[in-house]
Amino acid sequence: MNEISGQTLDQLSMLAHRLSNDPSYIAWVLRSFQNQERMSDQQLEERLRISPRMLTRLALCKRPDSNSPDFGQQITKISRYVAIDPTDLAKMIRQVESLEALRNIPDKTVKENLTSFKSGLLAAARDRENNDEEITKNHNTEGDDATG
Amino acid sequence: MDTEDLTQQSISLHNRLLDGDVTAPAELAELFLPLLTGYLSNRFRNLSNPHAIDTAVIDCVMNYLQRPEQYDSQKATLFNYLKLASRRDLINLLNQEKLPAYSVELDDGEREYSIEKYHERPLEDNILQKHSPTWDLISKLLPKAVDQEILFMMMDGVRETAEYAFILNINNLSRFDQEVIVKRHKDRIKKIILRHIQPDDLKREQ
Repeated sequence: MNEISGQTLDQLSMLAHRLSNDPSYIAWVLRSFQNQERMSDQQLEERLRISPRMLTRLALCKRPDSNSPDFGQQITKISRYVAIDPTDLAKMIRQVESLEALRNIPDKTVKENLTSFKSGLLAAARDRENNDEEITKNHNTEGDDATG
Repeated sequence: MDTEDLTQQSISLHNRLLDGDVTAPAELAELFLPLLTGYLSNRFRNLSNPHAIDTAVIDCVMNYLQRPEQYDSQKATLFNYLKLASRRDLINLLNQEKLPAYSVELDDGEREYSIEKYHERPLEDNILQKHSPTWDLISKLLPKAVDQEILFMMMDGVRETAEYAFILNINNLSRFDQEVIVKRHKDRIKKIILRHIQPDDLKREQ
C-alpha cells in the first residue's frame, strides 16, 4: 500500500463525507447503516473489523448493485481492496437496501395495505365470532337435547 | 511515477470508472488528490485561507468522479484536465472569498507585444518563487487571481487556447471568439508587465 500523507488522508475523508449524499457510493451505505444502527465511526470500524484508513477507502468505492449478477464479484473485489469480510459487507448493503426500500414505500400504499390488513382481521374476527356463536349455540342445543 | 506511467495509469482508471468498476473511484482519488494538491500549492503560495486548496481539489475530484464522461481523453491528459479544473475551482473560490467577481475584460486593442520579449527566465523564477520584490509588484499589478494564473500559464509555455478559455470560463463560446478573447487577455497582461517592469530591474534583482 502506498504511503499517504496526513493531508491526503484528511482530503480523502472529506471527499467520502461529501459522497455520503450520493447513493451510488458506499459512503452513502455506511452513513445509512450508521443511522439505522445508531453507530459511531469507531463502532462501525469495530463491527467491520477495519482500520479508519480502510474505512475511508471503502466509502470511496462504488456501491455494488445487489440486483446485478455481478454483485458477488463486486463484493469480492471491494473486500479484497479494503481487507474486509465479504459477508459483512454484503449483509450491510442488503440491510441498508431493505430498510431503505421499506422507507420508500409511499405512505398511501402502506395505509392501503394496513386498511386491507385491518379489514381482513375484522372479517376474520367476525367469522370467528360467528363460529363461536354457532359453536355455543350448537353446544347449548346439544345440552338442551341431552337434558330434555 | 514518471509522466508516461501516470498517463497510462490515468487512462486505465478512467476507463474502469466509465465501466462502473467499483474500486476505480477510490483509486483515482488516492492518485490525484496529492498530485493536485502539490500542483496548486506550488502555484498558489501564501493563501490567506490555507484550506482553499483542500476544498478546490476535493471539489474537482468529486465533480470528475460524478461526471467522468465530461472528460475528453482526446483533448488532454486526465492530469492536465484535472489541473485546469482544480485551478479554476480555486480561482472561483478565491474570487468569492476576497476578490470581486471577475468578468472577461476586453483589451483596448493597442499594439501587441511579442511573447519572446516578455518571456525571460529571471522573471519566471522570481515570480514563481513569490517572495521576491518582483512578485510583490506583480501581485499589485495583477491583483486578480485569474490574471495571475494566466501569467503563470504563459510562463509555463501553455499555448492551447482551450486551456486559457477554461480559466476564463469562456469555453462555451466559439473557437474563434475564444481565440480573440484569450489573445486580448494575454496582450493586456503582457502590456501591464512590460509597462511597469524594466528588464534592467530584473537583472538587478538576480
